[in-house]
Amino acid sequence: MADRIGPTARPPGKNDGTQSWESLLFCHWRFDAAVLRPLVPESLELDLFEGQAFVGLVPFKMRDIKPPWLPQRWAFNFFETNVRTYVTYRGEPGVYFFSLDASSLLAVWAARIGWSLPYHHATMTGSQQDQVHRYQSHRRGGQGKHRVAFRVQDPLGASLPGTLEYFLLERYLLFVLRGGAVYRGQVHHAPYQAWTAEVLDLEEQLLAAAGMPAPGRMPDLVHYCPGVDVEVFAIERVAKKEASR
Amino acid sequence: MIDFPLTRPSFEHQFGIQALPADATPLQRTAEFEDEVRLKRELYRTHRDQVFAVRPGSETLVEEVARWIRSQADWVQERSDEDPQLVDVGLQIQEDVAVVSDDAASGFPVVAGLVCFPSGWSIRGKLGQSMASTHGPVAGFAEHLLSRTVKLLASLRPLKTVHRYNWGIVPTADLALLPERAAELNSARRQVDRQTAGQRCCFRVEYQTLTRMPDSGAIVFTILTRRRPLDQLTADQCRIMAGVLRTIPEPVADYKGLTPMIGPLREYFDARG
Repeated sequence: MADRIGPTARPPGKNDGTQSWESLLFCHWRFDAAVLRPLVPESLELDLFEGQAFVGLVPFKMRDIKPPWLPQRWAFNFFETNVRTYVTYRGEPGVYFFSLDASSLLAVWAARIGWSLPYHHATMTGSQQDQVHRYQSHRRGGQGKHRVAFRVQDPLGASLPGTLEYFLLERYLLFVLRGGAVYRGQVHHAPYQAWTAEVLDLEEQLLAAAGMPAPGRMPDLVHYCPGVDVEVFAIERVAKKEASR
Repeated sequence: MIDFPLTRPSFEHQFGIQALPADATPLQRTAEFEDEVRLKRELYRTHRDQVFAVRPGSETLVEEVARWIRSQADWVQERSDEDPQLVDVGLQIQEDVAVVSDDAASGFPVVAGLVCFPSGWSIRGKLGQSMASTHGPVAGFAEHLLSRTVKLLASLRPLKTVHRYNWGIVPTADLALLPERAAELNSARRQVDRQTAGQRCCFRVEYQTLTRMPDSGAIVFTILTRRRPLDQLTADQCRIMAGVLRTIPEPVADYKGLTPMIGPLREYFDARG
């Protein structure tokens, strides 16, 4: 059984960087686990909620990204959209990213080299007019557009352990394969103060670009979070070379 | 501590207060201790305003309660300078803790608490309320139990702990049933059927202790909540439950959240008993 609480504790010692995540939209679709299984490294178990797998599409703004030694004025900002599912490794629940699109080429390079994460450079915009928020992204040199318009609705507050919201939102670990070995990255932040949200318009190709069948419907669950301040801790190898698909 | 407190196959308004045996302690460490303490810490992180409350001016009283908890549990240490005292000790024990003042004229109001595993209420919502108000939603409480409860609280002797049990059936194994889950649980109750009741529903027991503090006179409630799937009840226990659910008054079934699933539950217990 996955320990969903352990990863919420801040790791000891200094962080390797700080950043703020703002205006996060969490779109989730229910997926048959059998569909996702071939797309996730064998060494990672799919993390299911009541037998159901989930795929998330999460556009947001990255702000004030910097290592601890860099003065604040040099911190930088960009947009990001990630496509992910939820996995466990040796009982620890985390995120497995199918793709991450970012509007900063520097961030893409740094994350690909430093974290081996599947980042892609994209032209991205975000805006808000009246009550409607919009994100738009076009991956450079490839298939991978998405466009979403949404309206924030009612406050839910922090998620309760045991609920689907907690399962989907309160994720503090990521797992990535690097040279065939499993690595784990960790972040720490206050619990998400979630809101319900309504997607008004959605065009997305990112799930299909990651090898999944396009859901062909609006997300099954939509949440919004105004933002969290995040501490980032370096990834570390948690297992030697393992088979991957 | 027992995990099935019912002994007769018919419903009774139970007061059920007993003195704690001399060789027993108010605070327990069950096999679930580590997991539940971690869950409490997480709930304090995510829902601090819901699970913790203290009335201004109650600091001295709470200090005494914290000292008493440390005296009852040798694993509880003084360690945090940041958290309020009740949080510091309360997050090191499995039990929820609520404190009422010895103010009989005000009906023994709730003055503090760290309650992570409530059954549909929050300590914040109860703060400042009298015993009659806090139990207002309890069907039959005013008619059958209020006067006895008030007498009991008034007559509790310092450090002489008494205990009682409370029971329920819930369509989840989750412990933290804060009010925000009400709609979801009501929906889950409506989906219970005879075939799935044994796995989806849990028999939930609260082991409650009451102890009067010697200096302030405040009364400490500790609540240890245990639950297990109905499928784990024995045939005898199912026979008792079948009888209890046949005789439970409608308002009590409503209050306990049983009404939407009482038909399937009766069928389930009849079949197993």
